[in-house]
Parts: sequence; structure tokens; C-alpha cells
Amino acid sequence: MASTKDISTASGEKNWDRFIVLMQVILPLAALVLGTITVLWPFLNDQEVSFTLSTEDVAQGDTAVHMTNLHYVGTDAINRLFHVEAATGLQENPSSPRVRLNDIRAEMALDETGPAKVQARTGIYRTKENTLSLVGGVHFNTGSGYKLDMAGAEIDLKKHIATGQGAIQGSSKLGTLEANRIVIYADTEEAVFEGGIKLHIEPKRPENN
Amino acid sequence: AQSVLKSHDTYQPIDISADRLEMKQKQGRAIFRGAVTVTQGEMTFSSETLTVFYASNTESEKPSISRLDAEGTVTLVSKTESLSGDWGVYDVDERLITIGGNVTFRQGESILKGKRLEFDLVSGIAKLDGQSGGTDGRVKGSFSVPEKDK
Repeated sequence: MASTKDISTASGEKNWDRFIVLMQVILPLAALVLGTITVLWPFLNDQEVSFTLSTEDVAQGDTAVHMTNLHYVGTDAINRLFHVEAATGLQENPSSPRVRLNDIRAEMALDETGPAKVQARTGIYRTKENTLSLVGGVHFNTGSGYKLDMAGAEIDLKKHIATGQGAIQGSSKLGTLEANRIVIYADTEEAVFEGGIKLHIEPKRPENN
Repeated sequence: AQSVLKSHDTYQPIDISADRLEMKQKQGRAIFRGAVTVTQGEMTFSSETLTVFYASNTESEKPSISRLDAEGTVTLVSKTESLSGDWGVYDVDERLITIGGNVTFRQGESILKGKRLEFDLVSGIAKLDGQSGGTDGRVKGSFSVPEKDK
């Protein structure tokens, strides 16, 4: 005969039995699902992580030509050499006749005197007209004795003419000078200065006195 | 009265200011225009235009200045005298300044007028001559005797 204790545990055992039967089904199923996920994860991953680019915010193709260590060489009407060097250059597009330059050095060969040299921080070189517009830290050194600093200058590399402006200071064969504007004709060794001219001359003292 | 320009050193530095300057390196000429003012030591020179004749020397940086030609209301001023005329020539090597046209020479109280004046920068003495032509070519002048201090 079943003791009373037995009856109470009987129902407990029936619950337990049902739990066990349930677990026999759920557990393998869970294992199966987890297994497939871990196996397929990399592939599932791609689909979810990938993104698509919207076409609007893609930047326009940059057709500008960026250059470094540029070196332009040319000759003037009677075959005298000039060359333009720059650390970096930028052309809107390969066919554009204007090149924006940085850290520029230009030199023009002259007949009687040494070459005329000019330096500047930035500028634009017009390849067709062979002219240079210079801005910032312009320094001029011509064979005929001019060593001048100025704010800006325009150089015609073929005609060997330079116009400068902005706090011109420096020295010439006659003495140190200041002016507001200047035009130098390198071939004829002539220069016209305008505006607030100041010239300091140290005359040479002849030996006998 | 003793002129302060006596034995003036014509090779001391020269400072020139003007509105415009044309430098012709090959011809060795520098042409200044517009309110030209030249100062050298005790002397100040001014005119409408000024041409400096110079030669640049390759070895020494210093140029040799030979002459300064001034034109148009030329004045020369120092502490002891002031001169004016229509043109002026400063010969650096000869140490001589010549002023021409209607020349006025003021020294202290005395005023002299004439056609042409030569100012010798060694002796500090001015020679004024009234050339023929013009009114009567004679030098006109007024001298004042300094008061005796009573």
C-alpha cells in the first residue's frame, strides 16, 4: 500500500517527469539553433553590416593638377634663357594656362650684367604670356646692383620688365633707398621709382683727401 | 661772419628725398623730380629737379659722386647763410657750389642779389657777380653793421 508520504511525492514526480520530457525536446533544439548561428555567423554578418553609399555626397572628381618641385624653362625673343622654379604648384586643370605657385624662384639671363633673380612666397605663373604675379616676401636681385624687397611684383619674363609696389626697400649701386612703386627695365639697367623716395649715398672718398 | 660751410666735407654721406627717381645705371645718372631735398652735413639743398652724376665702382660698394645739378627754385641753406636761384651746380671734387639765375644771398643781416654766385666750400666765401644784361648788371646789396653793444 502507498504511504501518505508517497502520495505527495507522486504528484511531484509527475511534474518532474513532465519537465524532463519537455527538456528532452527543448535542449537539443536550442543546441541545434545555436550551432547553426555560430557556423553561419560570418555570412550573416556581411549582410547586416554592409551599407550603401548615397550618390549625392560623393565629392566631384578633383581634376586639379598638384605638382611639386616645378621647373619651367623658356627663352625670350632673342634666345636668352629664363626659368621659374617653385616648391609646389596647382593648376585648375591640365590645360589651364595659369599655375598657382608657392616658394618661387625665377631667373632671367641678361646680356651685359649678371642674371636678374627674383624670389617670392606665392604667385601665379601665366604659361602663355610668360608673366609672373608675385605676392609676399618678394626679393629682387638684379645684375645691375639692385637688391630690393617689396610686397608684390609683376614680372614679364620675356621683356625683362618688373613692376613692384608696397614698402620697397633695399640697395642700388648709388645707395640704399626706399620707395612706394618701382619699374625696372633690366635690359637697359634703368629703374623708375615713385612715391616717397629716400636715397642714402655714401660717396667714395678719393685717396688724397 | 664765419660760414659754417667753411671746409665742408663734400665726401660725407648725402641723403636725398623726392617724389620720383629715374636711375640710369649705364649713363651713371640719377634724376630726382618733385620736392627734391638734399642734406649733407650742415648743408641743405632743395630744388624741383636734381641730377646726380655718379660712377659705380666694382671693387668698393661706394659710388664716386662727381656732380649734382639742380634746377627750379634752387635753395641752399646752412646755419649761417641761405642762397637761392634758378639753377645750381654742386661740384663735389672742386668743392664748389655755383648758383645762377636771379640769385639772392643772405648772410646775417646782409642781403646780396646778382646773376651768378660761386660758393667756395673750402674757404666758406661766396663770390657774387652781376653779369652784363638784365637791369644794369651791377651787384646790388645792402649791408648792415652789427650794433655796437653799448
